Amino acid sequence: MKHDDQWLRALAGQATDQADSPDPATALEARLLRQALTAGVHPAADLSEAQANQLLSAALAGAAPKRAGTRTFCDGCVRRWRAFLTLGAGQWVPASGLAGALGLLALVLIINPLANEPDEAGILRSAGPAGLQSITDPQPLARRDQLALALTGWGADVQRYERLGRYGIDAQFELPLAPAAAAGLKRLGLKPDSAGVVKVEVVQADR
Amino acid sequence: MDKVRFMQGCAQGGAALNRMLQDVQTAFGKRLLWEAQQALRDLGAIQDVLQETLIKAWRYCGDFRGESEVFSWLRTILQRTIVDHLRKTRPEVPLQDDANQVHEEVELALIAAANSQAHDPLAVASSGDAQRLFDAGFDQLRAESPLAAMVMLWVARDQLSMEELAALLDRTPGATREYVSQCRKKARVYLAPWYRLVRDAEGTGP
Repeated sequence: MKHDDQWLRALAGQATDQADSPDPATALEARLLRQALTAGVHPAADLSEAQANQLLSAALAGAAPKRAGTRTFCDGCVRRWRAFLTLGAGQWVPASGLAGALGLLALVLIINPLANEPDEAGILRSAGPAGLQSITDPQPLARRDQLALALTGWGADVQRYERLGRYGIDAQFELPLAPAAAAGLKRLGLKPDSAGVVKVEVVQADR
Repeated sequence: MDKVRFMQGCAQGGAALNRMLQDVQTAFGKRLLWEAQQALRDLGAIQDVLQETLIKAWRYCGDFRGESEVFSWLRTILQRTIVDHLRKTRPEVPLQDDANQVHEEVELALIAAANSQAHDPLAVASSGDAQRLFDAGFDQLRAESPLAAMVMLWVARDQLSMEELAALLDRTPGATREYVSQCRKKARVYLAPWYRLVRDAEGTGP
Protein backbone atom coordinates (compact mmCIF):
# COMPACT_ATOMS: atom_id res chain seq x y z
CA MET A 1 0.00 0.00 0.00
CA LYS A 2 2.82 2.37 0.85
CA HIS A 3 4.41 1.70 -2.49
CA ASP A 4 1.07 2.31 -4.18
CA ASP A 5 0.88 5.75 -2.55
CA GLN A 6 4.38 6.51 -3.78
CA TRP A 7 3.51 5.20 -7.21
CA LEU A 8 0.48 7.51 -7.40
CA ARG A 9 2.42 10.55 -6.27
CA ALA A 10 5.20 9.88 -8.74
CA LEU A 11 2.67 9.22 -11.49
CA ALA A 12 1.12 12.62 -10.71
CA GLY A 13 4.55 14.21 -10.96
CA GLN A 14 4.63 15.11 -7.28
CA ALA A 15 7.91 14.93 -5.42
CA THR A 16 7.97 11.95 -3.11
CA ASP A 17 8.80 12.58 0.49
CA GLN A 18 12.33 11.42 1.22
CA ALA A 19 11.25 10.52 4.74
CA ASP A 20 9.05 7.86 3.17
CA SER A 21 12.20 6.22 1.78
CA PRO A 22 10.69 5.80 -1.66
CA ASP A 23 11.48 2.63 -3.41
CA PRO A 24 13.61 3.57 -6.45
CA ALA A 25 12.01 0.88 -8.60
CA THR A 26 8.52 2.18 -7.79
CA ALA A 27 9.55 5.75 -8.54
CA LEU A 28 11.09 4.72 -11.85
CA GLU A 29 8.07 2.62 -12.80
CA ALA A 30 5.74 5.58 -12.21
CA ARG A 31 8.06 8.09 -13.84
CA LEU A 32 8.29 6.06 -17.04
CA LEU A 33 4.54 5.61 -17.11
CA ARG A 34 3.94 9.30 -16.53
CA GLN A 35 6.36 10.18 -19.29
CA ALA A 36 4.57 7.92 -21.78
CA LEU A 37 1.08 9.04 -20.75
CA THR A 38 1.86 12.74 -20.94
CA ALA A 39 3.69 12.28 -24.24
CA GLY A 40 0.31 11.59 -25.78
CA VAL A 41 -2.32 8.91 -25.79
CA HIS A 42 -4.21 8.42 -29.00
CA PRO A 43 -7.97 8.81 -28.66
CA ALA A 44 -9.95 5.63 -28.26
CA ALA A 45 -12.41 6.88 -30.86
CA ASP A 46 -11.10 8.52 -33.98
CA LEU A 47 -13.55 11.04 -35.39
CA SER A 48 -13.54 13.02 -38.57
CA GLU A 49 -14.08 16.77 -38.37
CA ALA A 50 -17.61 16.33 -39.72
CA GLN A 51 -18.42 13.64 -37.17
CA ALA A 52 -17.02 15.80 -34.37
CA ASN A 53 -19.14 18.78 -35.40
CA GLN A 54 -22.22 16.62 -35.76
CA LEU A 55 -21.67 15.08 -32.33
CA LEU A 56 -21.19 18.44 -30.67
CA SER A 57 -24.29 19.90 -32.30
CA ALA A 58 -26.38 16.90 -31.35
CA ALA A 59 -25.11 16.99 -27.77
CA LEU A 60 -25.86 20.70 -27.50
CA ALA A 61 -29.29 20.30 -29.06
CA GLY A 62 -30.13 17.55 -26.60
CA ALA A 63 -28.89 19.56 -23.65
CA ALA A 64 -30.46 22.92 -24.47
CA PRO A 65 -32.55 24.25 -21.59
CA LYS A 66 -36.23 24.21 -22.28
CA ARG A 67 -38.27 27.34 -21.80
CA ALA A 68 -41.12 26.56 -19.49
CA GLY A 69 -44.35 28.32 -18.81
CA THR A 70 -45.74 28.80 -22.29
CA ARG A 71 -49.36 28.22 -23.06
CA THR A 72 -50.73 24.72 -23.20
CA PHE A 73 -53.85 25.04 -25.25
CA CYS A 74 -56.67 22.55 -24.65
CA ASP A 75 -54.47 20.15 -22.74
CA GLY A 76 -56.21 16.78 -22.69
CA CYS A 77 -59.10 18.25 -24.68
CA VAL A 78 -59.64 15.16 -26.77
CA ARG A 79 -59.43 12.87 -23.77
CA ARG A 80 -61.95 14.95 -21.82
CA TRP A 81 -64.39 15.09 -24.74
CA ARG A 82 -64.06 11.39 -25.34
CA ALA A 83 -64.65 10.63 -21.67
CA PHE A 84 -67.63 12.99 -21.61
CA LEU A 85 -69.21 11.58 -24.76
CA THR A 86 -68.59 7.99 -23.74
CA LEU A 87 -70.09 8.58 -20.33
CA GLY A 88 -72.94 10.54 -21.83
CA ALA A 89 -73.61 7.93 -24.42
CA GLY A 90 -73.62 5.27 -21.74
CA GLN A 91 -76.39 7.15 -19.98
CA TRP A 92 -78.38 7.41 -23.18
CA VAL A 93 -78.19 3.70 -23.93
CA PRO A 94 -81.39 1.96 -22.95
CA ALA A 95 -80.67 -0.81 -20.49
CA SER A 96 -81.55 -3.59 -22.87
CA GLY A 97 -81.36 -1.84 -26.24
CA LEU A 98 -79.07 -3.64 -28.65
CA ALA A 99 -79.39 -0.78 -31.09
CA GLY A 100 -78.24 1.66 -28.49
CA ALA A 101 -75.21 -0.46 -27.65
CA LEU A 102 -74.30 -0.63 -31.33
CA GLY A 103 -74.70 3.11 -31.49
CA LEU A 104 -72.30 3.51 -28.60
CA LEU A 105 -69.81 1.21 -30.29
CA ALA A 106 -70.05 3.26 -33.45
CA LEU A 107 -69.54 6.42 -31.45
CA VAL A 108 -66.37 5.07 -29.82
CA LEU A 109 -65.07 3.93 -33.19
CA ILE A 110 -65.62 7.40 -34.56
CA ILE A 111 -64.00 9.12 -31.61
CA ASN A 112 -60.95 6.85 -31.28
CA PRO A 113 -59.28 8.09 -34.46
CA LEU A 114 -59.67 11.60 -33.09
CA ALA A 115 -57.69 10.56 -30.05
CA ASN A 116 -54.90 9.32 -32.31
CA GLU A 117 -54.60 12.71 -33.89
CA PRO A 118 -51.78 14.49 -32.11
CA ASP A 119 -53.27 17.46 -30.32
CA GLU A 120 -51.58 20.76 -29.66
CA ALA A 121 -51.37 20.19 -25.96
CA GLY A 122 -48.12 20.84 -24.19
CA ILE A 123 -46.04 22.17 -27.01
CA LEU A 124 -43.28 24.36 -25.67
CA ARG A 125 -41.33 26.18 -28.27
CA SER A 126 -37.76 25.84 -27.18
CA ALA A 127 -35.15 28.42 -28.01
CA GLY A 128 -32.77 25.56 -28.74
CA PRO A 129 -29.95 26.48 -31.10
CA ALA A 130 -30.56 23.58 -33.45
CA GLY A 131 -34.29 24.21 -33.70
CA LEU A 132 -35.17 21.51 -31.22
CA GLN A 133 -38.75 21.85 -30.07
CA SER A 134 -40.05 20.34 -26.90
CA ILE A 135 -43.35 18.88 -25.83
CA THR A 136 -44.33 17.87 -22.35
CA ASP A 137 -46.73 15.01 -21.86
CA PRO A 138 -47.67 12.66 -19.02
CA GLN A 139 -47.05 9.75 -21.40
CA PRO A 140 -44.03 10.84 -23.43
CA LEU A 141 -43.38 7.56 -25.22
CA ALA A 142 -46.96 7.24 -26.42
CA ARG A 143 -47.02 10.88 -27.40
CA ARG A 144 -43.76 10.59 -29.32
CA ASP A 145 -45.03 7.55 -31.24
CA GLN A 146 -48.32 9.24 -31.93
CA LEU A 147 -46.51 12.27 -33.28
CA ALA A 148 -44.13 10.10 -35.31
CA LEU A 149 -47.10 8.41 -36.98
CA ALA A 150 -48.63 11.76 -37.84
CA LEU A 151 -45.39 13.11 -39.29
CA THR A 152 -44.87 9.91 -41.27
CA GLY A 153 -48.40 10.26 -42.57
CA TRP A 154 -47.53 13.73 -43.80
CA GLY A 155 -44.66 12.31 -45.82
CA ALA A 156 -41.67 12.80 -43.51
CA ASP A 157 -38.81 10.38 -43.09
CA VAL A 158 -38.95 9.94 -39.32
CA GLN A 159 -36.24 8.69 -36.99
CA ARG A 160 -37.20 8.00 -33.37
CA TYR A 161 -34.75 7.96 -30.47
CA GLU A 162 -34.65 7.87 -26.70
CA ARG A 163 -32.01 9.73 -24.72
CA LEU A 164 -31.80 10.45 -21.02
CA GLY A 165 -35.47 9.83 -20.52
CA ARG A 166 -36.52 12.04 -23.40
CA TYR A 167 -38.22 10.59 -26.42
CA GLY A 168 -37.35 12.36 -29.61
CA ILE A 169 -38.00 12.50 -33.29
CA ASP A 170 -35.91 13.75 -36.15
CA ALA A 171 -38.19 14.18 -39.15
CA GLN A 172 -37.04 15.12 -42.62
CA PHE A 173 -39.62 16.63 -44.95
CA GLU A 174 -39.16 17.12 -48.65
CA LEU A 175 -39.23 20.74 -49.68
CA PRO A 176 -41.41 22.44 -50.67
CA LEU A 177 -43.76 21.10 -48.02
CA ALA A 178 -46.91 19.38 -49.18
CA PRO A 179 -50.02 21.41 -48.26
CA ALA A 180 -51.21 18.68 -45.85
CA ALA A 181 -47.83 18.63 -44.12
CA ALA A 182 -47.67 22.40 -43.89
CA ALA A 183 -51.18 22.57 -42.46
CA GLY A 184 -50.55 19.75 -40.01
CA LEU A 185 -47.28 21.19 -38.77
CA LYS A 186 -48.85 24.60 -38.41
CA ARG A 187 -51.67 23.11 -36.37
CA LEU A 188 -49.14 21.49 -34.03
CA GLY A 189 -47.04 24.62 -33.82
CA LEU A 190 -44.00 22.88 -35.28
CA LYS A 191 -41.69 24.60 -37.72
CA PRO A 192 -39.30 22.80 -40.01
CA ASP A 193 -35.90 24.42 -40.48
CA SER A 194 -34.64 25.63 -43.83
CA ALA A 195 -33.63 22.06 -44.76
CA GLY A 196 -37.09 20.71 -43.95
CA VAL A 197 -36.03 19.08 -40.68
CA VAL A 198 -38.28 19.00 -37.64
CA LYS A 199 -36.69 18.03 -34.33
CA VAL A 200 -38.98 17.34 -31.42
CA GLU A 201 -38.43 15.88 -27.98
CA VAL A 202 -41.16 14.78 -25.62
CA VAL A 203 -40.36 15.09 -21.94
CA GLN A 204 -42.27 13.77 -18.98
CA ALA A 205 -44.82 16.28 -17.70
CA ASP A 206 -44.99 16.89 -13.98
CA ARG A 207 -47.60 14.65 -12.48
CA MET B 1 -14.67 31.88 -21.74
CA ASP B 2 -14.78 34.51 -19.03
CA LYS B 3 -15.92 33.11 -15.67
CA VAL B 4 -17.84 36.24 -14.78
CA ARG B 5 -19.84 36.03 -17.99
CA PHE B 6 -20.42 32.36 -17.33
CA MET B 7 -21.78 33.07 -13.85
CA GLN B 8 -23.88 36.01 -15.06
CA GLY B 9 -25.45 33.91 -17.83
CA CYS B 10 -26.19 31.22 -15.31
CA ALA B 11 -27.74 33.65 -12.82
CA GLN B 12 -29.93 35.34 -15.44
CA GLY B 13 -31.30 32.06 -16.78
CA GLY B 14 -33.64 31.89 -19.78
CA ALA B 15 -32.16 33.11 -23.05
CA ALA B 16 -28.93 34.22 -21.35
CA LEU B 17 -28.42 30.70 -20.01
CA ASN B 18 -29.10 29.29 -23.44
CA ARG B 19 -26.55 31.64 -25.00
CA MET B 20 -24.08 30.72 -22.30
CA LEU B 21 -24.47 27.06 -23.17
CA GLN B 22 -23.80 27.82 -26.82
CA ASP B 23 -20.73 29.82 -25.82
CA VAL B 24 -19.53 26.90 -23.73
CA GLN B 25 -19.82 24.66 -26.74
CA THR B 26 -18.01 27.14 -28.96
CA ALA B 27 -15.21 27.70 -26.46
CA PHE B 28 -14.76 24.22 -25.03
CA GLY B 29 -16.73 21.81 -27.20
CA LYS B 30 -13.74 20.46 -29.08
CA ARG B 31 -11.65 20.06 -25.94
CA LEU B 32 -14.45 18.28 -24.12
CA LEU B 33 -14.96 16.07 -27.14
CA TRP B 34 -11.27 15.22 -27.14
CA GLU B 35 -11.50 14.26 -23.47
CA ALA B 36 -14.46 12.00 -24.17
CA GLN B 37 -12.68 10.47 -27.15
CA GLN B 38 -9.78 9.51 -24.92
CA ALA B 39 -12.04 7.32 -22.85
CA LEU B 40 -14.77 6.05 -25.15
CA ARG B 41 -14.91 4.33 -28.49
CA ASP B 42 -18.61 4.32 -29.18
CA LEU B 43 -19.89 7.47 -30.90
CA GLY B 44 -23.28 7.20 -29.23
CA ALA B 45 -21.63 6.98 -25.82
CA ILE B 46 -19.46 10.00 -26.59
CA GLN B 47 -22.51 12.00 -27.56
CA ASP B 48 -24.36 10.87 -24.46
CA VAL B 49 -21.60 11.86 -22.03
CA LEU B 50 -21.13 15.22 -23.75
CA GLN B 51 -24.85 15.88 -23.64
CA GLU B 52 -25.08 14.83 -20.02
CA THR B 53 -22.12 17.06 -19.19
CA LEU B 54 -23.84 20.06 -20.78
CA ILE B 55 -27.09 19.25 -19.00
CA LYS B 56 -25.24 19.10 -15.67
CA ALA B 57 -23.41 22.31 -16.57
CA TRP B 58 -26.60 24.33 -16.90
CA ARG B 59 -28.31 22.52 -14.07
CA TYR B 60 -25.50 23.06 -11.58
CA CYS B 61 -23.84 26.21 -12.91
CA GLY B 62 -25.37 28.08 -9.98
CA ASP B 63 -22.92 26.17 -7.77
CA PHE B 64 -19.93 27.45 -9.75
CA ARG B 65 -18.19 30.09 -7.62
CA GLY B 66 -15.26 30.82 -9.90
CA GLU B 67 -12.62 29.10 -7.76
CA SER B 68 -11.39 27.28 -10.83
CA GLU B 69 -11.43 28.00 -14.53
CA VAL B 70 -14.69 27.22 -16.31
CA PHE B 71 -13.03 24.56 -18.42
CA SER B 72 -11.54 22.80 -15.38
CA TRP B 73 -14.99 22.76 -13.78
CA LEU B 74 -16.53 21.36 -16.95
CA ARG B 75 -13.79 18.80 -17.36
CA THR B 76 -14.38 17.52 -13.83
CA ILE B 77 -18.08 17.14 -14.63
CA LEU B 78 -17.20 15.32 -17.83
CA GLN B 79 -14.75 13.02 -16.05
CA ARG B 80 -17.35 12.12 -13.41
CA THR B 81 -19.85 11.46 -16.17
CA ILE B 82 -17.33 9.21 -17.90
CA VAL B 83 -16.65 7.37 -14.64
CA ASP B 84 -20.38 6.78 -14.17
CA HIS B 85 -20.75 5.67 -17.77
CA LEU B 86 -17.85 3.23 -17.59
CA ARG B 87 -19.09 1.79 -14.32
CA LYS B 88 -22.52 1.24 -15.80
CA THR B 89 -21.34 -0.28 -19.04
CA ARG B 90 -18.14 -2.04 -17.98
CA PRO B 91 -18.27 -3.02 -14.32
CA GLU B 92 -14.73 -3.88 -13.35
CA VAL B 93 -13.99 -6.86 -11.19
CA PRO B 94 -11.11 -6.91 -8.74
CA LEU B 95 -8.01 -8.77 -9.87
CA GLN B 96 -7.73 -10.53 -6.54
CA ASP B 97 -9.94 -12.49 -4.23
CA ASP B 98 -10.48 -11.85 -0.53
CA ALA B 99 -7.27 -13.69 0.30
CA ASN B 100 -5.36 -11.26 -1.94
CA GLN B 101 -4.71 -13.98 -4.50
CA VAL B 102 -5.00 -13.13 -8.18
CA HIS B 103 -8.00 -14.90 -9.68
CA GLU B 104 -6.84 -17.77 -11.82
CA GLU B 105 -8.93 -16.79 -14.81
CA VAL B 106 -7.63 -13.24 -14.59
CA GLU B 107 -4.07 -14.46 -14.44
CA LEU B 108 -4.59 -16.73 -17.44
CA ALA B 109 -6.26 -13.96 -19.42
CA LEU B 110 -3.51 -11.52 -18.65
CA ILE B 111 -0.78 -13.99 -19.54
CA ALA B 112 -2.59 -14.69 -22.80
CA ALA B 113 -2.87 -10.98 -23.47
CA ALA B 114 0.78 -10.40 -22.68
CA ASN B 115 1.76 -13.22 -25.02
CA SER B 116 -0.50 -12.18 -27.86
CA GLN B 117 0.98 -11.06 -31.15
CA ALA B 118 0.09 -7.43 -30.47
CA HIS B 119 2.20 -7.52 -27.35
CA ASP B 120 5.15 -9.43 -28.65
CA PRO B 121 7.95 -7.13 -27.47
CA LEU B 122 10.35 -8.39 -30.12
CA ALA B 123 7.89 -7.75 -32.94
CA VAL B 124 7.32 -4.16 -31.92
CA ALA B 125 10.70 -3.41 -30.43
CA SER B 126 12.35 -4.44 -33.67
CA SER B 127 10.81 -1.30 -35.13
CA GLY B 128 12.62 0.58 -32.38
CA ASP B 129 9.42 2.33 -31.45
CA ALA B 130 8.81 2.24 -27.70
CA GLN B 131 5.80 4.51 -28.05
CA ARG B 132 4.14 2.00 -30.35
CA LEU B 133 4.75 -0.70 -27.79
CA PHE B 134 3.26 1.50 -25.11
CA ASP B 135 0.25 2.39 -27.30
CA ALA B 136 -0.46 -1.27 -28.00
CA GLY B 137 -0.45 -2.14 -24.30
CA PHE B 138 -2.39 0.92 -23.26
CA ASP B 139 -5.01 0.41 -25.97
CA GLN B 140 -5.60 -3.10 -24.70
CA LEU B 141 -5.78 -1.89 -21.12
CA ARG B 142 -8.24 0.80 -22.21
CA ALA B 143 -10.36 -1.75 -24.04
CA GLU B 144 -10.49 -4.21 -21.17
CA SER B 145 -10.25 -1.95 -18.10
CA PRO B 146 -11.20 1.48 -19.40
CA LEU B 147 -11.70 3.10 -16.02
CA ALA B 148 -8.29 2.00 -14.77
CA ALA B 149 -6.70 3.33 -17.95
CA MET B 150 -8.46 6.67 -17.63
CA VAL B 151 -7.58 6.98 -13.96
CA MET B 152 -3.89 6.59 -14.80
CA LEU B 153 -4.15 9.07 -17.63
CA TRP B 154 -5.99 11.65 -15.51
CA VAL B 155 -3.59 11.26 -12.58
CA ALA B 156 -0.56 11.77 -14.82
CA ARG B 157 -2.01 14.65 -16.80
CA ASP B 158 -4.00 16.49 -14.12
CA GLN B 159 -1.61 15.68 -11.25
CA LEU B 160 -4.39 14.32 -9.07
CA SER B 161 -3.70 13.54 -5.45
CA MET B 162 -5.18 10.53 -3.66
CA GLU B 163 -7.85 12.80 -2.13
CA GLU B 164 -8.79 14.34 -5.46
CA LEU B 165 -8.95 10.93 -7.04
CA ALA B 166 -11.20 9.69 -4.22
CA ALA B 167 -13.55 12.62 -4.88
CA LEU B 168 -13.55 11.96 -8.61
CA LEU B 169 -14.30 8.27 -8.15
CA ASP B 170 -16.67 8.91 -5.26
CA ARG B 171 -14.91 6.29 -3.16
CA THR B 172 -13.60 6.26 0.39
CA PRO B 173 -9.86 6.89 0.82
CA GLY B 174 -9.35 3.21 1.63
CA ALA B 175 -11.27 2.03 -1.42
CA THR B 176 -9.40 4.52 -3.57
CA ARG B 177 -6.04 3.21 -2.35
CA GLU B 178 -7.18 -0.30 -3.17
CA TYR B 179 -8.25 0.82 -6.63
CA VAL B 180 -4.92 2.56 -7.22
CA SER B 181 -3.21 -0.69 -6.28
CA GLN B 182 -5.36 -2.51 -8.85
CA CYS B 183 -4.48 0.08 -11.49
CA ARG B 184 -0.78 -0.35 -10.82
CA LYS B 185 -1.01 -4.12 -11.13
CA LYS B 186 -2.95 -3.84 -14.37
CA ALA B 187 -0.39 -1.42 -15.78
CA ARG B 188 2.39 -3.86 -14.91
CA VAL B 189 0.67 -6.66 -16.76
CA TYR B 190 -0.67 -4.86 -19.81
CA LEU B 191 2.45 -2.74 -20.26
CA ALA B 192 4.96 -5.43 -19.30
CA PRO B 193 6.75 -5.57 -22.68
CA TRP B 194 7.02 -1.81 -22.80
CA TYR B 195 8.29 -1.64 -19.22
CA ARG B 196 11.00 -4.12 -20.07
CA LEU B 197 12.05 -2.18 -23.12
CA VAL B 198 12.17 1.24 -21.49
CA ARG B 199 13.82 -0.03 -18.32
CA ASP B 200 16.52 -1.60 -20.43
CA ALA B 201 16.91 1.69 -22.24
CA GLU B 202 17.23 3.43 -18.88
CA GLY B 203 19.99 1.00 -18.09
CA THR B 204 18.41 -0.17 -14.89
CA GLY B 205 17.14 -3.55 -16.01
CA PRO B 206 14.21 -5.35 -14.41
